[in-house]
Amino acid sequence: MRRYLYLYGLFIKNGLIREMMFRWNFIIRIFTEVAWLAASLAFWQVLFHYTGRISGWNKYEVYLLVGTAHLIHQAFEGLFFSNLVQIPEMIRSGNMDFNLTKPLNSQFLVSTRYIDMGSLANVILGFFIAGYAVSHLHITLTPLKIMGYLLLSLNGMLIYYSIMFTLMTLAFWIVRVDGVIGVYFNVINFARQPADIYRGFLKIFFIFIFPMLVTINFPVLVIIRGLSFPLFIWSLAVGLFSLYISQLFWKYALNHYSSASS
Amino acid sequence: MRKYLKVLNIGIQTNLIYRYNFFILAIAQFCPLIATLILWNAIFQSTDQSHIQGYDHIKIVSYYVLSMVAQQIVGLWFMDYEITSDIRNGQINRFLLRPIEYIWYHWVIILSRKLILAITNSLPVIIGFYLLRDQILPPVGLQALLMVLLMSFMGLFLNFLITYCAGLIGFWLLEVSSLFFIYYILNFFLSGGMFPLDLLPKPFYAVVRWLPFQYMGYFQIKLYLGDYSVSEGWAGLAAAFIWILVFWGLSRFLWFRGTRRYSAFGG
Repeated sequence: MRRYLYLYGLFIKNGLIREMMFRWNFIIRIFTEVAWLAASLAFWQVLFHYTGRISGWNKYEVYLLVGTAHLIHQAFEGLFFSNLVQIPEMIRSGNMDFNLTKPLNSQFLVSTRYIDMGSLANVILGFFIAGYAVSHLHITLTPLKIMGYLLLSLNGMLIYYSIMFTLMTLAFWIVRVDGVIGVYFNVINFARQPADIYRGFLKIFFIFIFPMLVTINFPVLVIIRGLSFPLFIWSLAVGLFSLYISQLFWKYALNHYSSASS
Repeated sequence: MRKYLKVLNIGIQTNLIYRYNFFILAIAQFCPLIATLILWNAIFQSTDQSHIQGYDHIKIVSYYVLSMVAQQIVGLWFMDYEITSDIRNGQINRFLLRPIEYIWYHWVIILSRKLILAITNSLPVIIGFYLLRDQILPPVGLQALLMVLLMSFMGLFLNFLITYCAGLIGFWLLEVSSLFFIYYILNFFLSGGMFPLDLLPKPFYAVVRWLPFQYMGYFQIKLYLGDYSVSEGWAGLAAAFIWILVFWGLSRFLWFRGTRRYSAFGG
């Protein structure tokens, strides 16, 4: 465990050094995400110009959702995304072998090697938007609520990680997976909407079968409406289970891996 | 002309190699549309009005479906990345030596992609529109439909020129990929991809109508729906043409200055 912490410290240091080398890229990356955030805030601002509430959600509750979505996505992108999208190329070129021959957990190594500080800076912005929204909501924040929010946000990030990691593991069989990356970015659109626009079967579907509401909406619900204890436990179960599945699939894939050009 | 036909042929072939990839992505692209339509359904249920700024439910559904079609026609993903990486790693040298103009090479590649898209998708789209005729409005008239097609071609060419100019920035800046992403977001928003532009507050709408981006989706959809008449379509065509001239001039200027300062990396 200590060895992994030490290594992660080195990865962080390495990430910082790289960002200092390409400072402009760092700054532009922050602006890119700010542009996306501004566009989605403008979208909701325009919609709420014509209606006071959408399925019971008022404007600031949706802003909280937008901020939370931003911080979860950016944390995921900063910590894992740039590593995961390199997996297919590593498999194709044979560089994957370097990860497998080291005396470390290979999933840890391929998932955490590079850290994108620009995205992590955006996590702060996400918290800022969320805080702004909460300050307009007349809600008393208890430490318990905040802890539940943070825990479920982390849980949501791990679910995204597991989905993406599993998709990228497919590269052991399919050569070109950029279509699959596109699938991820399209599918997560379901998670960005206020939970209550889904009714009946759809809502059950997005909670229990394809748990897209667990990732972003549930942390927000903890703060604005309160989340029932069984659903809270369900969320954590989904997070742990998806992580477990991703690990299982990775091991299965490695057993079928015969390296490139050998 | 024949050499460009050759490029067209090569472009079509490389596109066909990755057809599965393309197919998976094509299906996934319906997810944002479905999410948006569910959202709008909820909005109409949350208000007592049946119209929002002149849009009723069926018109909103039509708008977003048409918007998705428009993005398929006008959208150019990654062409600017290709241009800057050509510049950065010296691949562009090939074009400086060949009797092919760089800009037209890219235009023909784009045409080949769009041609494949048209061949594979036209029929499913037409059948889809027919089957969903109770959910999606038909074009307001044949003249309007022809105008939409003409304007779509103009919108594609305009987007091509702007994207091409953006790619040429690679002569000056090495790492610009993030900048392109900002352009995509801006383009998506200002071409009405997120919501109909006339939902914007009046002062913003007045500004947006003077920008070139509305000709990459919004304008065509409004023509299709009949909110713009055919004569307004001609006015839009003229305006789009002026924008094309502007970016055409800019692209020539950037190319001229860029190649002067270019030092042929690796050569």
